[in-house]
Amino acid sequence: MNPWYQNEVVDATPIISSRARLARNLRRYPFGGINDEQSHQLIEEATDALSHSFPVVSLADKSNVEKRRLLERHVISPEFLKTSNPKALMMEASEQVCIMVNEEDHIRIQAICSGDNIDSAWDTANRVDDLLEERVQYAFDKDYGYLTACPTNTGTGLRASFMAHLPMLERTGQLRNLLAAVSKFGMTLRGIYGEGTEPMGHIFQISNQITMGKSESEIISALKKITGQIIENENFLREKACAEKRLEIEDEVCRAYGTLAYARRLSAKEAMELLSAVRLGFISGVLEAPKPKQTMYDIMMSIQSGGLQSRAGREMSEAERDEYRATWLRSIFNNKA
Amino acid sequence: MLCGRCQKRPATIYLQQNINGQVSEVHLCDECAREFEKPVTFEQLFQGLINAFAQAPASVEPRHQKRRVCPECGLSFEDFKNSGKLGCAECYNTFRQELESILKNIQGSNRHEGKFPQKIDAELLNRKRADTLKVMLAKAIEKEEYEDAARLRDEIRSLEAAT
Repeated sequence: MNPWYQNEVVDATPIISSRARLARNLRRYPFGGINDEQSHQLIEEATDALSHSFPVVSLADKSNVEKRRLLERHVISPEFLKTSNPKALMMEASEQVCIMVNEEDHIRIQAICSGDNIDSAWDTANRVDDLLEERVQYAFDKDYGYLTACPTNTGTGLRASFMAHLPMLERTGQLRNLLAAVSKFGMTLRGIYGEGTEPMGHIFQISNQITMGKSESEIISALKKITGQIIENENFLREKACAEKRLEIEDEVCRAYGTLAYARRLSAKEAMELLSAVRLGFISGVLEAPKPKQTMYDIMMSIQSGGLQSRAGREMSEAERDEYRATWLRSIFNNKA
Repeated sequence: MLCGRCQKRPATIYLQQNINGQVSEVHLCDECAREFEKPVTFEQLFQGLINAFAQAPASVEPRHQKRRVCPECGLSFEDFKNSGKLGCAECYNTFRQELESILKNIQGSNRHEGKFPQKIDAELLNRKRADTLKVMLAKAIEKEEYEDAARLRDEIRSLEAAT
């Protein structure tokens, strides 16, 4: 089965993907202060419960570059790589379902679907949760729900999110206003690689911040409504710009395509800007150039440092990466290169 | 007033967050407020709030707070204030009194709604079932369907007697 980000749905609308993440802990182990022996027991318990459904991926066998690549593809979280205690990862080949064992919480179940498909992501995460629950004893409180290391996740433990490409909202400066508006509804807007990171390529994650006092379906329904509004605004601004300033947009997206087809050195930041413009060009119909075989989002992730070095099969300096990135992008955007 | 985040410099900025109508607030100094303009994690903001609330005059005696330690993992309330993380499931019982207000301020509510493990004891299942029936009862009364209402009332009574 192909990875979810290779499905062309990820390029069809501003919404790239939908994700549901559940934080769970087991009753009989401590959260943060877990020692190595307990970690191994925890891993055994969790992987035994799911081993029939999900293959265990050995992290110990993976190089730093490969681990970074997993991070860039949102398979694992930065927190998962931060601490050195024993860990396990279970993952489907499609990368649609990933289960991290011994992260900040004992278990993090994540389901990702391409495009606007949060219900399906939630159903999948929920099913994995049910499977696990048959075999393990969760830390659960009648009043507080699923107990987590950080009280910001307590309750449902659910973080539902959409990943969306919002170039028009960002360039018109409306994103800042939106940020204030979404927080009133217990939602938040963050950059592509999550909390505390700079947004790249105008890609944002819209997710719920509140995990208590609302059921999973209420959280998802509110997230869908808010995201729907955001996407409506983005679509409106894009159509307006294409009608009123078509030449300006055309010039920008064609220049971006040209740079990707001919540049000799590209930083990740610049490449993301250019790819964002080209994605905008394809979605708006302004750009008539040939579409790459890979999805734009797949390309965006492939040009990150882990993705590039994994492709090259070796570690590279920043300058080497910039050159390699440009060469690889030329091979995609310029048939004659 | 001291800054709710660094606890060192005087607070000059007042930050208010409204989540589901639940207003939480924190007072910050110039320097910490500038930090907030940078991309900031929710946990960082949250930690400031824990400190702000933990320092506010509350029904909990500060001396009592400092001494109390989770019997299962040894985490103290001070440790929690510093890291923003709880040590184990038992911490939620140990610091329940403090967490009631912290959760309410952070999450806008301190009660879980939604999924619960099917393996959980019968008591919770009965309570959840009774809550659902109470909503149905109110609807039945509203529609003047008294036969249904009487049946629902009896069922609620028996569920409540069992818990």
